[in-house]
Amino acid sequence: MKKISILALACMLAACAHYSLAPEGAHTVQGMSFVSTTDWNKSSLRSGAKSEVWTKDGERLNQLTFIGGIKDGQTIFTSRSKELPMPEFRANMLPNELMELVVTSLKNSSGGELVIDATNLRPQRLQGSIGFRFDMSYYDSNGLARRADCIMVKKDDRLNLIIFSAAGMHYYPKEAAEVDSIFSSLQL
Amino acid sequence: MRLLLSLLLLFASLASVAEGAQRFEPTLPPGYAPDKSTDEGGLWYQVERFEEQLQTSPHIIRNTALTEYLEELVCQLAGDYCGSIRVYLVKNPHFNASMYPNGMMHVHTGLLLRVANADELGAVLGHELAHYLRSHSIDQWRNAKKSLGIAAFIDIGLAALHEDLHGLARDVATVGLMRYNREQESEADAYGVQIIATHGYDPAASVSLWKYIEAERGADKSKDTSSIFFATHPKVENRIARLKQHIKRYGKNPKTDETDLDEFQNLVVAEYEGLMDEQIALQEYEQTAEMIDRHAAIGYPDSLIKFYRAELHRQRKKFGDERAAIDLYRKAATFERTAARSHRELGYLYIKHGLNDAAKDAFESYLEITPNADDREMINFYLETLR
Repeated sequence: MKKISILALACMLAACAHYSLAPEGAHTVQGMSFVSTTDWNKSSLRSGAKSEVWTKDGERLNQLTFIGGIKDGQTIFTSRSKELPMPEFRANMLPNELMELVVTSLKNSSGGELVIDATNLRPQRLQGSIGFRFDMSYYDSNGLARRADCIMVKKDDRLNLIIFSAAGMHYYPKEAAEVDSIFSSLQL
Repeated sequence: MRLLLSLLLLFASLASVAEGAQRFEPTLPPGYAPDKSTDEGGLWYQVERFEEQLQTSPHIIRNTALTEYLEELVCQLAGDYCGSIRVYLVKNPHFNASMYPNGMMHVHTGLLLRVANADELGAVLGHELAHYLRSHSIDQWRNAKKSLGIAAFIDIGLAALHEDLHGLARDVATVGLMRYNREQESEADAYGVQIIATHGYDPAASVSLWKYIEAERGADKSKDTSSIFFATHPKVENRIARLKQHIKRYGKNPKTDETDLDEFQNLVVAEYEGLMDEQIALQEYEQTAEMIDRHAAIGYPDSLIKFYRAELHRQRKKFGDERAAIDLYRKAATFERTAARSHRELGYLYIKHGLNDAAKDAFESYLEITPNADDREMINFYLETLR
């Protein structure tokens, strides 16, 4: 019995996710519609109740995290630590605050110790709405350089966002054009 | 039972009197390295592998004026042992410093915002050096090994050492590898005071630092006990009382090196934005308010004090905070160092309050100062839509 639970724990720690194909084409994920131009793998991992994770080569190498329909007072990731609570979304937040919300949430998901450089906050015109987009670069706790691209769209006082994060070398630039095309096709 | 308790208390008080009068000597010679075939050699081997990883870690700050200053101060306090100690400045906004058996010392960036001057910094470094000079790590490691059973201990120890840097500091402490016991902590306090006092630093700095730490913790009632640091260190009140006993023996050193004091503060001020942005992101608003009050009392620049008080209000988002933030940003905007960021934040806050003309002016001021700002597209978007 003990062995089984150790195995289960090891499996959890090693993130034994299972995957299904998300073929190229039109999708609607967490209320966000978009078009992908290549195949992705939908992972069983989640970062919160209203999230879905896609990857090409495994979550640690590259992942697209979709988080949709966050209401006023809710967090974008599930809070795991009382010491380091996740910041809450407010419906009246402006783009600078939304960027801080995402950055602090990411930091706190890693013990508050990641030093994240967030830059290039800018508007992105989408069909029927305006989104806000910015870039991040940081070293994860293993010392791996990572880059991320995030798009955030508020609709009916709810926050919707997609974060693409990947190893800075090879895996980020490899998908950058595809991610840009997914973000540009976003509709809510 | 009661008799036993009284005997224990008597023993404890005698021990503390004896400790108060004691002059500490190191338990290892300068340049010490254990035989590789011993248990201590094995522990060193593991810690050295970890230190090798650390040398290329992006989480370490290297070759800055601040790290040079730290190295010099540690070297000065370590005296003959200077060559045995290597200090690493770890990017971590929490209050901590730690010492490893092979002479590797970690100082968190969060410490730099909490010590008021070179004396207080010296008090922490002296305490950590005392752990090294009295071989506390190996003693504690042997104790832990005895109590856990060797096989289990090695497994956990190795797992911890293979963790990442940030995880390591936590896990190592959790398994008891580096967790000193209360007696060792008290001895390091007393020996630390001896070290700084004999090097011309104010021994009372250890008390002023702990008083501040207590005030910062007291500012927030919601959290404290689960912090590893506070779980492994003596109770702050007890600690202050005992430190006061130790410092009585040394008296106050005359301030012969004022420039030294100013140098540390200037170095912190030079890096202030980077350090403080990480602190504010912890969302520990009450503690950070306490910290900024202390920085104001030390005499850190008014521009930074006003700007970070504004940041605190803006990010806390409680009733009345936005108003207070606007007032403070307006003042911070009059200083060159904090003008650009203050104008930008004012712009956003004015939009929230429907003051579009004021927002436009603030954003224009921001772009005037930093025409190549990385978020200029965002600002231009507002300048166009706010017409």
